[in-house]
Amino acid sequence: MAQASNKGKKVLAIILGLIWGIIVAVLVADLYMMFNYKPTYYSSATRIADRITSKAYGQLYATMQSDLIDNLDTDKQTEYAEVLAVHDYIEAAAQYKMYKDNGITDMANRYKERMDDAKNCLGGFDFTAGDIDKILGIK
Amino acid sequence: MKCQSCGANLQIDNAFCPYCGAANPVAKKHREDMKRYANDYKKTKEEVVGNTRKFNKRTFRITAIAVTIAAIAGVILFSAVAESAGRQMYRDHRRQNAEKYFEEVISLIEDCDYIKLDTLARAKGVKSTNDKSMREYYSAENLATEYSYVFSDIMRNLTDESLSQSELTTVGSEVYRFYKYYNAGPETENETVVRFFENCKRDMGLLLTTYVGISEDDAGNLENMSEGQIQVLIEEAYNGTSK
Repeated sequence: MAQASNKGKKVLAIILGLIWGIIVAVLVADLYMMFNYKPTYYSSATRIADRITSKAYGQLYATMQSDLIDNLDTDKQTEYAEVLAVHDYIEAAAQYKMYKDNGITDMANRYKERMDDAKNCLGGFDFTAGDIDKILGIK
Repeated sequence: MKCQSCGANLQIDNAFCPYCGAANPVAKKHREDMKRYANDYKKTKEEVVGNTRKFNKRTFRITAIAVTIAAIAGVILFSAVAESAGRQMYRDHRRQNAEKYFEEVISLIEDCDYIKLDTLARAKGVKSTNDKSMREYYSAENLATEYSYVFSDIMRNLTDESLSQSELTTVGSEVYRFYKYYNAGPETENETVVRFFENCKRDMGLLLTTYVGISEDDAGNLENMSEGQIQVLIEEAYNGTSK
């Protein structure tokens, strides 16, 4: 009887110990997440690579733009540097064409400069510039 | 008590009278009673101690289980709010540093650089500081945000091979919202902001004529159109350009 009672006590102690272990682990994980919060960014290298492969540059731009608004730190994450250049190229090229076609030369020149700056940063994605020009109708 | 034989004073536990030597009948019963009481007391004491020990053990177990259940509930609750608390802390931190970007935001307003302005102002939480010195620029920031939404959607649609009805409706709604902000006016006499408003409206027209395909006349009249009219116009223009 006493042995059975002792066994019950041991089982209870083990269960409670495990539960408390899990509680502490979850608490530590939550605290870590809380103090290291970062918004969810969607322009991961893999996803962006898919967009480039499928030439979905518009979607790439929109995704990246949304992440930038969520304060994506592109300086620290080098994997974003070339993707950011594609984003910047689309943005500049679209506005360049818009101003150029409507005879607003000073603005067109400003965005042409930005296009060139972005083009220089395209690195391995330099082929995208031609694709984007074609999509936007830039000769 | 008194001796039943000689009447002398006796202690209750005296077996015999010290004066006449007569036997004390009460003394024996008294001793037996005392012995029984002592036994009863011992038994009761053991029982009470045993019960108390059992009660303490049970109380400890129940308390441990109750505290564990409360801790589980607490952790579940904390997990539910941890992310939003983290988000809030992140935003607060961003807001505390936003002041560093005020000058840059004003410079982008002067340059009519709508998208860069929207990106910087929102990413760094400039508006959420509610700083007095920046209030006259809020309307420009809002208009830039609307421009940026439309621009972003138009860019997305450029490489979207099958535009859905809802995507077209969304562009229409965003264009309408842009003109709603435009029609509300700059809410300031600040010349930079007034000029920003006029240029932004002109450029929204250019954006829509260049990439959506609406006519210049329609673009010039968008500020007077209802949301439904703009949606129909955008839809027709997209369908026209896709033909």
